[in-house]
Amino acid sequence: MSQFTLSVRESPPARVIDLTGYLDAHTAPQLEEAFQSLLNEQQFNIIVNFRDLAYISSAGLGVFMAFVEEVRSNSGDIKLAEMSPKVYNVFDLLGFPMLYEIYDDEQKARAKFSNEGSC
Amino acid sequence: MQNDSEQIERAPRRWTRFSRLLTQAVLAGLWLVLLLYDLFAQVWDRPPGDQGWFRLLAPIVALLPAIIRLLAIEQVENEQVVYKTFRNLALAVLATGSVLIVPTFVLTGYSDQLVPDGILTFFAGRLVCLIMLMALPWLVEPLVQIFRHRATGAGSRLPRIFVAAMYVVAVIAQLVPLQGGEGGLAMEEPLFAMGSLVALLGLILATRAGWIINLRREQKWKLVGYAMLATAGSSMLLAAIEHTGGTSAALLSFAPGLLNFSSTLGLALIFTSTVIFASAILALPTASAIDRRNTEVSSLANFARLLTQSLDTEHLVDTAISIACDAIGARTAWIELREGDAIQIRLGREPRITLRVARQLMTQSVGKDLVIAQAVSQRRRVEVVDRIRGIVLYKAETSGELKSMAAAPLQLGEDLLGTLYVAKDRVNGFDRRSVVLINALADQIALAIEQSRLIQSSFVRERFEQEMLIARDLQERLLPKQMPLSPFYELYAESLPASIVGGDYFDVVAFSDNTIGLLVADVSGKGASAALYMGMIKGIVQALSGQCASPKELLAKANVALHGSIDQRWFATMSCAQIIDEHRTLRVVRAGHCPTLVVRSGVGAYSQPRGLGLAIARPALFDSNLEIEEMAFCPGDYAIFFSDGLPEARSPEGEELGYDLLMEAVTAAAHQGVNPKEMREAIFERINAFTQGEPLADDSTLMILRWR
Repeated sequence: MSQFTLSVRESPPARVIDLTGYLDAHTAPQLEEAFQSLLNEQQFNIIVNFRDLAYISSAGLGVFMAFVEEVRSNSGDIKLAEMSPKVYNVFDLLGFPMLYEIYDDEQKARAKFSNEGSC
Repeated sequence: MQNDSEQIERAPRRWTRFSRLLTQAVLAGLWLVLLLYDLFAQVWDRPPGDQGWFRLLAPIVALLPAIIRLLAIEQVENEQVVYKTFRNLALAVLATGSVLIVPTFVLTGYSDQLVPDGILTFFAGRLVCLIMLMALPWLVEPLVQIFRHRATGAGSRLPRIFVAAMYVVAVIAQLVPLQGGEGGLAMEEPLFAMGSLVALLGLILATRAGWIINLRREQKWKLVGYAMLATAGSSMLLAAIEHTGGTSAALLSFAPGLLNFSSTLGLALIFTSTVIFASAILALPTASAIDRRNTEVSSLANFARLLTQSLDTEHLVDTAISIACDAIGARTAWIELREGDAIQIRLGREPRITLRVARQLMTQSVGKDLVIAQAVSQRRRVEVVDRIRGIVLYKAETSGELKSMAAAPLQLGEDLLGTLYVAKDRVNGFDRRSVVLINALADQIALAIEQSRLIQSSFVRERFEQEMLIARDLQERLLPKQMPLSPFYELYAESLPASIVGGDYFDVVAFSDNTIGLLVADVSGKGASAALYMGMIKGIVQALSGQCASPKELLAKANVALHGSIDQRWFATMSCAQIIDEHRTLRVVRAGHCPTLVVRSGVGAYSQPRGLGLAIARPALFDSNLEIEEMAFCPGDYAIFFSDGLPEARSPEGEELGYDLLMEAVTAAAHQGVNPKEMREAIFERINAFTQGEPLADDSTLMILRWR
């Protein structure tokens, strides 16, 4: 079992959260904290990079639902990027592609933020 | 303690008493024989001094039982026994001295008649002899017992040698006729020298009074009194027998050996009483300190006992406070308890100070910029404030002032469980000795607190487990007990929580047109919270199903009820299938749930109509994305609803079973034409082979329909 780690980096115009390992009921609170501190810093353009995430449970999915409304009401967004097919399948089953923008490339997500900003 | 020592003493007491009486009876009998013999001698007109053989034999026979008894005296360990022995000795000496002094005074008036062969001398000698012989066991035995106390360090031999030497002196003296004959007079000086040597031995033994130290203070005072009585008694005894006239004259003429023995004994008694008197007086100044030390030891012992008795932490802490107060002799004590970030101050059952005063004391300075509370938690050692700054009064007695204090960490290894505080009403109240004691007490208290907390948490855990088992039972009852029976299909369903309770469930509902609906649902999260939501969803779905004509309508209405009503993070997934019997058709909707596995004409496939999870999206978005899939089946076809616990079953290496292997197992079994129950067995056989018997990490639910 690979351990869950989380890091936040700046990638204008957004902040990127990189996830690795297993995101489940035990590790979800860490992600929640990361979102909360970004919101406290008034950072509403958030990309979550799933490149190294091996597994996501329902508790992990719930974290995105908890913050998306507040982020969007502040004219920001949570965009998801670079999911493995397995992780994508979990999001897809739940119908998350109807609710979130999911990109195969982090760059595309960033570009989308840039376009939104310029509009 | 008191009862224990009495019981130990009681066992040999009966024999002791009997053997002492026996000794006295033998002595008295011997005296009677002597008296009769001398009477007849008088009558037959033979000189009374002419009984050499008898004089040799009599004392040996008389003292033999006494010597045997003396050898049998056990070494005493308990100073309380020695104390009582000396008390008895003092009374015996006093009694003997008083009894002997009377005939001495009386006889002194008739000293001219006390001629060697006179009748008065004869009877007076017998009387004194009887008194002395009767008193001997009461005087000699206690003396030996006192000398043989273990605390004195005296070997077992010395006191015996002492007594044996006394008897030897007495016996030899019997052999020496002191009147008439020059050889007899020649023996007087060596005998006197021997007597002095024995008395010196007695003096050495008398210094061994170590047992006095451990007596209680009031016992030491009493001992001074008893020693004075014993000194007075033995002085009277010596005065009686050493007096130039009277008794000594009578004894000289009748039993010079006894006289010699008695004077040696008298000297030993005087030495002993004097030394004990002096020792008791000298022990008095330290009596309070010794008492305090004994209190301290018993406090620690009490506390150790408390350790095993108190389960409730608060009760334990309050008791610890009173014990600490007593043991240290403090005016007040209190304990600051830490548990995680929570800090609690407990003042004990009868607090003498208020919480405010306690806080005031805890901020007393012990160095530059360091208050006592911080100092204890940083340095982890006993801290002392010799002189409390400012005036700090007790609550109850406003005149009293607290003048010094100490604090000790309650720690176990690195963990600081709290701090013990004690305060006294005098400055410099804590010497090195109290600091050591406070430390020892604090360690005991810490250990007891930790133990009681462990016990408490195991109680709580046990109760929690009980409640979870009840919850499991309730949750099992929420699942339908019987599957509907139909000529068109057969059904099997089960749901296994990964922990005691789970968030998965299956149900059978009836739509408004009386068609039957099957549903399988998975609530996000696991364990108790998921189980609570599961119960709620089941209630909502059951209430709504009768009003809905289709599974799509049912899930849409359920989403309205659930969305926004619960925690934003929370959601559920559900598959619902309406059974149209006569057409062998299923109308399936999927709210974010795992796809349905269907096997038609031996070919497996996953049905995954579009649909968002429940409570994820607003009703408009949810409804517009909810697709209904209608599937027609033939007899022998299967439809299998399940939760993600099955495809996510993991091998010991961490690999997931996956949807493909699941389908493979199902189609293989379908080719055998198995019934739903057998299909379940086939699926779990495959899963168990994959996980190698490891339990599933997630709840797993399975609902299998086979068309007839």
